[in-house]
Amino acid sequence: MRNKLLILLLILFSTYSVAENAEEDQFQWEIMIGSGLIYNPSLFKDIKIESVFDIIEFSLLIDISYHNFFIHTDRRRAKDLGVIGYQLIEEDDWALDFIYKNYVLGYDPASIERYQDHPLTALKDLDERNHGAGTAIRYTKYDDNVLFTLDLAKLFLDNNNNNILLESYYSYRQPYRNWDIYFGGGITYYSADIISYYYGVAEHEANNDRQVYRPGAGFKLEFEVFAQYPLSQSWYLNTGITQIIFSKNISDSPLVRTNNLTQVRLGLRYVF
Amino acid sequence: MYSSQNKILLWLSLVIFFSSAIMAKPLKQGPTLLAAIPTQCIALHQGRKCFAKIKINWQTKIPDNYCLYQQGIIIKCWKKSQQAQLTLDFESNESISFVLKDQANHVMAQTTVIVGWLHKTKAKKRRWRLF
Repeated sequence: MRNKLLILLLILFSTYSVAENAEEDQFQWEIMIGSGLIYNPSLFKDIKIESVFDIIEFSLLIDISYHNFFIHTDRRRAKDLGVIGYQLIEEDDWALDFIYKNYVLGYDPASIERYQDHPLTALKDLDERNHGAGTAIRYTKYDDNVLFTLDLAKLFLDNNNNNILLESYYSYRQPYRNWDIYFGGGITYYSADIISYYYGVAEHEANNDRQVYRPGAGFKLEFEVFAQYPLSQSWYLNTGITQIIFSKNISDSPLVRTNNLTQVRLGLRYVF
Repeated sequence: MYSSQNKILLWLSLVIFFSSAIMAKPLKQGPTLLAAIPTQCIALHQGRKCFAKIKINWQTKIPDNYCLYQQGIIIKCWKKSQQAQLTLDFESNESISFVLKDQANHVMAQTTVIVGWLHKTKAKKRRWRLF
């Protein structure tokens, strides 16, 4: 019944949206490639920055828009977050989209161990955790320099549970001469099933060093400052710092080493 | 003896050789030189103002009273000068031309600082620019 209602709502919103924007339908695209240095320590125990490949980042940013369909890379974040979506409603200062996005990076302890020069005690013999991709309804509020997004998402994980996520992010752009400086902050709520999937320890994974861990719901706070500066008509500089704070249910995990992370990026991007 | 086909080829080769030689030769400098550095100012998004420090140099063969114009407006004048240099705070969302004129209002030289943009998408959809 719930699914039927969702489909009906999508059809209604789509019809409305197509009718409203029929004269604006057009194909738009922009592709960027990038490379740079990143300081991105792991949240998990025993994983260290050991080689030059741990501090080099390559990126491909694709923005395509055709009728109501779009693929976008979030240009207001220091890291590259891709979204595939369908625009349901677009007004002058707000929009509603149906999107597909990867919200949480997965990890495979066995493959991580192959690239580390030391044994991973805390993560040894853990099951692989898949990427946390899912569908969401995204509400966006914007004006020239402000962007606020609110995603209500359901992640498709192999635990078949109630994997609900609520992600909000506020971004303010401050132009200064040829620079664009972005100040951002957000909070992400993860249901207990998501926290357990990524940071929990199941009965069959427990050992003498690792107790069973079944946490409740948790959240992540993010603050970010990043900047872009044009070097030519094709190249620009991209740099930023991100501070992430994790709730107790995440940081108390026997797999996790800290309750906060700092990421720093400096790179160049080429716009086609 | 050259066949007619070989003669044509010989002529073509000579034409190409001399054309290249002429093209490769540096252009003879005019009596007045006006240069702006950098020649381009790049902003992030189309329509945004671009900011830069522009160095302008000029020199002539004859000392005279000269004025430098930006879009028809006098920026600075020099008396009985043959050369000068100045630095400008450039701030524009369109390409700007600089003109050097003598006291008889003759255009002696001209140069342009081109304003370009990194993201040139002309978005009809407003939020295209936001992501």
